[in-house]
Amino acid sequence: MNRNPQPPPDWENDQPLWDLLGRAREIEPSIGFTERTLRRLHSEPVATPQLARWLWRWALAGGLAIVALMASVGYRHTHARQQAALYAAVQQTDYPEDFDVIAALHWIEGEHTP
Amino acid sequence: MTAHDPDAARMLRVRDGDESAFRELVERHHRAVINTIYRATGDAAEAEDLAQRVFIQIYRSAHRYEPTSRFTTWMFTIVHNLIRNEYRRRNRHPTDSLEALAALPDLHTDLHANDPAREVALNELQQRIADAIESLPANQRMAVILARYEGLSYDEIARVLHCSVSAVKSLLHRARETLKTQLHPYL
Repeated sequence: MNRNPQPPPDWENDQPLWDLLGRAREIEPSIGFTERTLRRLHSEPVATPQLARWLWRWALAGGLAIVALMASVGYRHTHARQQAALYAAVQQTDYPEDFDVIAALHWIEGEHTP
Repeated sequence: MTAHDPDAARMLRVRDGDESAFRELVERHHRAVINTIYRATGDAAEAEDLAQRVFIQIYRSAHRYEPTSRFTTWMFTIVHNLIRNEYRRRNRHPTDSLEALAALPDLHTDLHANDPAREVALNELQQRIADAIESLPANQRMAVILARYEGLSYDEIARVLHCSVSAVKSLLHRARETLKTQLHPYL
């Protein structure tokens, strides 16, 4: 690798800037970098590929969404069944018909009192 | 391509399971990778760790390697992607940023200066250059680093940054203007 490359043609008017940038700090790699890299290569588990991670996340989110949907549907279904049962019970109750009430108006208005 | 690029030939050996070829690649390129990451992130403390991750990724991606371009172009594409991920991670977890450490004196820095006054002046100049490069937008910064310090051609930089050659020229033009303004006192 060329550590001090020549400037490309369109930098020719900026040679001083090119030279100045060349004075930037360069860090010295620490001794044993290669050995440490090889050790790390063999000690680190192979990372789960990005795609698999995304699939796993989406599967988890999808699963939670399905559970929430099923809970919601179940609740609505139970609620509707209870409502229907209540309605049926109300329907079966023996309420007096209107004409019974009309016939008993004199009694309601106090005519039955002595 | 392999006939002209011995590193591409090494990489093909790595693909065939030759670990000694991988060792040679690390030896040949670790300085360039570490310094590219250091210049892009401004983080000397983390540069070696990220560089190790680059080489591990190179090894583990060897089966996908095709010598269609120079090995270094492929290598710097991995460096660029890793740096971009690092920026994203830092944006998500700002407290993880180690930029503060970058401001500390660097024990590895080779100053080649014995005179304390000269050393201070050189340190200041280097800090101003680093600050100016760091102030550039990410793609401009990477284009400058690859052109100035790694000697990549515009075509190679375009491959690394996944953009056109004219976009690279534009990035470098804008970067030059910013750098000239920021480093004006030293020019």
